[in-house]
Amino acid sequence: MNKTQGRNILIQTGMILLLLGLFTYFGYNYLENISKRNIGIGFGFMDDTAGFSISQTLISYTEADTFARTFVIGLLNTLLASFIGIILTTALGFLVGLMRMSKNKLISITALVYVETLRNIPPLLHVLFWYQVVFLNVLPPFKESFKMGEWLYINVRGITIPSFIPQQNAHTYSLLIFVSIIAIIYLSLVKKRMVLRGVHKRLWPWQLLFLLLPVIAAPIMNPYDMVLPEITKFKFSSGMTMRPELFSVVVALSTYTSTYISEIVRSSIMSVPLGQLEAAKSLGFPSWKRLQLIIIPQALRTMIPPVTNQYLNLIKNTSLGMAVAYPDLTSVFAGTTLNQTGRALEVMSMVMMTYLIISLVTSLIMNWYNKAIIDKKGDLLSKEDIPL
Amino acid sequence: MNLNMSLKKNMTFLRKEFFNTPLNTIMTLFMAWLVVKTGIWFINWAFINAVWTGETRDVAREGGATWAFIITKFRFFMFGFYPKEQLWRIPVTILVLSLTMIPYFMKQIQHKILVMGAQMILWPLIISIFLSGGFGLEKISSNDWGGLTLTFILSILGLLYSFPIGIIMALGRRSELKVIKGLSVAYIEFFRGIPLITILFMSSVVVPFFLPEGVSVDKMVRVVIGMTLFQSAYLAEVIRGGLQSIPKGQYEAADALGFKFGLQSYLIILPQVLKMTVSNIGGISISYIKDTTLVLIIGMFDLLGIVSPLASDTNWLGMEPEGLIFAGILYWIICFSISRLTYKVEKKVNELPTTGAIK
Repeated sequence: MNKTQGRNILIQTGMILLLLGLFTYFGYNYLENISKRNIGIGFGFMDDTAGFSISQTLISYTEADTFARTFVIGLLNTLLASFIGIILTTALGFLVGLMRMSKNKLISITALVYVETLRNIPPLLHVLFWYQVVFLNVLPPFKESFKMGEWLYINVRGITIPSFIPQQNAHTYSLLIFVSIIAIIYLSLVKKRMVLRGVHKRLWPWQLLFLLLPVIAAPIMNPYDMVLPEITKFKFSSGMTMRPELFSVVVALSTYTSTYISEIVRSSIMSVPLGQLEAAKSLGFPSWKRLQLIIIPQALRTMIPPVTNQYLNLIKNTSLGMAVAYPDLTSVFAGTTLNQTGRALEVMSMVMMTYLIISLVTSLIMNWYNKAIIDKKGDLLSKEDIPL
Repeated sequence: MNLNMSLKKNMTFLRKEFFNTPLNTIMTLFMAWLVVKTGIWFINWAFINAVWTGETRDVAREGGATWAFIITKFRFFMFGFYPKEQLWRIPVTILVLSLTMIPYFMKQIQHKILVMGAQMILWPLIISIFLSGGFGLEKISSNDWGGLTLTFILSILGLLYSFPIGIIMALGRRSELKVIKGLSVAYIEFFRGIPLITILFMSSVVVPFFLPEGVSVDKMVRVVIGMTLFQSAYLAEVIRGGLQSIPKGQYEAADALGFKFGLQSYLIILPQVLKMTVSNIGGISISYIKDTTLVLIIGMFDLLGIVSPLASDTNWLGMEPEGLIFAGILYWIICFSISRLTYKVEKKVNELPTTGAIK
């Protein structure tokens, strides 16, 4: 063992001892403090009755349910807002990114103003703005709801649309949709393999057929019964209402994040070498094929890692919903449940671990997709290929 | 004749740029309609129908902004609930803080890093002495700090302290020592994986449990620590990106000159890294300043947080829109100027030589 190795071991052991010391010290203090204040320890509280109500739940929940259930409710609400937010922000981001690249000055400058205005304002302000200004100040009160036929009602309490009640054959219909999706994916894979083998056979009519199948089946099978929103004196007795909290969080975060996505989209498209476009032109690709087959696939590759980061930001930012009382994980569990039980450490570690896991899973999925895309391109030149 | 020609030229230009295809024509018309419509509405709301003077909400007019609210409450937006007679202490603090920046612009000072070290000790002292008082000055609890002042304090302290921690973590992540590397990775990934709100909760709810009995740390201090830990993880990743782009030859050359790790980082590697990452550092500083707004969730009244208590004044009920828009404009100005500044610094830094102490 030489001198450096010895020193390295010393440093690392010192580091570990230091951390252990800190942990023991804090742990000791913690135990002292909770025993003095009569707060229990451990996750036993999860089976106790929660006893508070939650304004929006995706699965059934009553005040008699346990704290464990409040965790699930909060998590599902976080996932719901993230899911809608990601879809909206992607669509909006692509649109604005392409608008920024438009030759039409009016369009590109409007897009630039959109990006520069929205992204220099804190996301929390976006959320509060949508909630307090748009919902509470601009939208009409309940009795004077904005109406579109019998279908859509907009007022301070949210946006109400018809709800769909599953009928007897709803399960069969879901199965049909599932089968169609699998068939379409399978056909795409088959097509990919055919192209690799040099076979060109049309498969898209079959895919179209499977796509249309559920659409055609819907009126015949009638799997869902549509119930129009019905107004009683003080509330809607039927229909589906998107509450202002969810709406504010989703719209605020999607518009805010879309400014970042649009910049990523723009710079990735611009990073595709001009030669690629010229080569595609000289091979006689029509303009939309050029975009679809040559430019976008190459741009996607540079786009995915930064876009993943933006998705993760959006997911973490759904916690801002707390400011407008959207019952997400942070607000329900780290807020109300923590206050009710007093188990600060247990609750906070659960919340943090959950966000960490969500981040990790999102990264994994995007990395996997990233790899799938890069594989399509074939091998990169390696050093051995260069004859020098 | 001349006029006719230029008119014709303009017409062709317009036709080519805005109306060359049916789709483009539709988009142009739609955009123009949208821009004009929102523009007119905004000018009406913000200027023509706006009210600038008044003492209560009764002056408010339909379809116009009530800027009178902002004007009467201006002091609170700037300084929070700091007592009126003591307000002079805030500009004095800011002036003294700015004075500590002078050494950065002095050519005689070789090692600017020492200046930064001095600031890390001086800034909290200056802030606590002048703003909290106690040394002959009237004592003012940090609960009364608020508005733009609080945003400013949180931002500068967080940005200052996150620098050394971020650099250490970035270097740690590339260390050959397994334990150091593991700990740095765990630190960075942990703080990047969780929302800032949970860290703020942790610092306001859980941290007191870890302190021995009788010891209490001011909420303000706990929040600054939490936010620094959060920001330094992001900074570490930016610096790591810079470290990765340094050619191996630079390390080898430094080794060949006999530089040990410390000197090698200080004289050769970090100056290049900082130069390369200026724009990213500017970017995450902007996000950090935007993130300081989250302290409103744990009950602190920063520039954004103060809107709601001010609009609950019985004289000014329901003035949230004006308050939020005013705060938004201030945030916009701050963030936009930093992004412009970053751009300028980046340009200037690129003219400097690549190596040598950070001067």
